Formats: sequence, structure tokens, C-alpha cells
Amino acid sequence: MAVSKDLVAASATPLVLSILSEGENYGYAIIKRVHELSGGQMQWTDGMLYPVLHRLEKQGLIRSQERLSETGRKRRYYRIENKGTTVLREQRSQWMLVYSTLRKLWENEPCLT
Amino acid sequence: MFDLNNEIKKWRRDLAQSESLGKSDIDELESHLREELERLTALKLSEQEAFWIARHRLGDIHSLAEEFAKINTSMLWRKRLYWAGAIVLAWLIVTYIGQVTSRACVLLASLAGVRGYALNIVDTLSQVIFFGTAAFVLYRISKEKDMQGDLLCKIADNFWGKVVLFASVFVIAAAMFASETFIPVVTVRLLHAQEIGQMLMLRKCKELIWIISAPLALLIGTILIRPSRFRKVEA
Repeated sequence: MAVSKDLVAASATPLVLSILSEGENYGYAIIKRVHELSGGQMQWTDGMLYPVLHRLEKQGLIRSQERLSETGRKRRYYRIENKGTTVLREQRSQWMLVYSTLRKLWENEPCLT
Repeated sequence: MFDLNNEIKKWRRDLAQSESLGKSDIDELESHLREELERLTALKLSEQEAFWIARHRLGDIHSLAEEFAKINTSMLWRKRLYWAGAIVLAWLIVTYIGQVTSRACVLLASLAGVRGYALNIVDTLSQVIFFGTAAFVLYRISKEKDMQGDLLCKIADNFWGKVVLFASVFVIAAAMFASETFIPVVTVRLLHAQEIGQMLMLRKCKELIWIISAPLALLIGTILIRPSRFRKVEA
């Protein structure tokens, strides 16, 4: 099951912020984490993550720093800022509200399959 | 034979041509590409297969450029401004060199003993030949996609490259300005007042044509060599 493009775009911010709230990380690992958490069901076009990260950085929600990795490769590490944590908390309650509303509706209906 | 580093270089160049990605954006994408390549080659894929898959997963250049353009608006405009500045300077230089060439031709002809209307013919002919050649060179450059890309990348990537380029343009402009003033001083001593008057009249007439056609030619030239024309869309 492929998640629709609109839903992927809408969930990008909370996903990235949530992953970064676990600790600092870099683009490739973030993509792999999303892939792993969704059991490979949520497939992003890898390159599209970077404009999202840069937008969040411009908004002051995250901060980046270029460093050499242990393998000697140049990587840009992202870290969540206080403002990002606040925004994540707001987004989380919004998503929970949407989720619980839909769940109530779908629980009352007989299962169609 | 598949050369991975060469393919990555080409891929980087295609990304750079899309205007909206900066060097650090491309570096970050390349780092991602190389990590994915490592993972895929560890799964026993050949370098070529791994490159194709990794590149495909990163997304096609056109849509990447579109997404980055939303973020890098100021950089995009800065690049366009550089581009417009470069065009105006190139135009200035070409015009100057053209004028100096024709004046030098007239000087040489009058030194060789050519007088009267023949001098006007020399004047006009040298201008026509010069600007014809310039237009042809411009046309050839606009056809050479690779050459354009390399040139643009080198200028855009390197701060000192930009400084050297603009400095040399100003030096050439100054040299042209000086010789444009100096050549007529010598020419005046060789010719009669009547001949000089004739030539000046004709030159003014030509300048009128020039003033009308120059903005039009500039516009066409700009459209011809605009960088977005060289944006390659991956199949």
C-alpha cells in the first residue's frame, strides 16, 4: 500500500521532528529510519527530504552542522531546537485528534473486509 | 567501461545546471548517493546497477530542482543577477572591441594611403565582419551544451573565479576605452577635415541603426543562452 503524495507531504514535518527528537541525525539515516518504521510502506523520493530539512532549518525548528563521520565522509547532522520541540508537541496533539476522530468513526462501522 | 566517479561528476553537473541548487545542497545529495551506493554494492549489485537505482531513488533532477527552488529563492535570484550582469558586461566588451577594430582598420588603411569613400567602405566592412564573427561565436557557444555547463559551474562554484573574470572584463574595457580615444587622435592627423566629416556623418547614421537593433539583439541573445535552456530532464 503506497501512501498518497499529499499525506506524505503533510506528515513529513512531524516525522522528521519526531526522529530528530530521538537525537541528532543526518539525511540518509532519517530516510532509512522512516523506511524501517513503516515496514517499507512509506517510500519517500529520497532527495525530497532535503528541501524539507532546509525549510525546517530556515524556520528555526532544527539546526544543522557539517561534520566528518567516523568513516571520514562529510555529513550534515541535524539537531532539534526548542522551537522545534514546541511545534512537534502541537503537531502531535493535532495528529492525535485526527487519528482518534477517524478511529471512533471506523470502530462503529462494521468491518467491510 | 563504467566509471562511477565520472558518472557522479556528470550527475553533479546536471544538478548544478538547474540553477536552484547550491554547492552545499549538491554535496549533501552526493553524500546520500554514495551511502546508498555503498549499501547496494554490499548487496552484490554492480556499480552501474547501484548507481542507477540510487540516482533514481534520489529523484529526477527536474522535480528536485523544483523543490529546492522553493527554499533557495534568494540564491536563485542572485544567480540570475550574476547572469544578467555577465551578459551586459559581455555586450559592453564586444561593442568596444568592435569599435576599436574598425577604427584601427581605418587607421591602417589611411596609413596605407587609402582616401575618400574607400575609407568608409573599410570602416563599414570591418564592423560587419567583426559583429558577424561575434554573432557566429555566440551561436556556437549556445549550441555547445557541455561547454556552457562547465563554464557556468566554474564561475558559480569559485569565488576567485568570479573575481578574476569580472576584473579581467574591466581591464579589457579600460584598455578598449583608452585605445578608442587614442586611435582617432592619430587618424585625424592623417586625413583631411572633409574626409573626417564624411566618416563621422556615416558613423552617426550607423549608430542610429545600432541603437535601434541593439536592445533587440540583446534580448534575442539573452534568450538564446539562458541557463535554463540547458537544464537536462532525466528520462
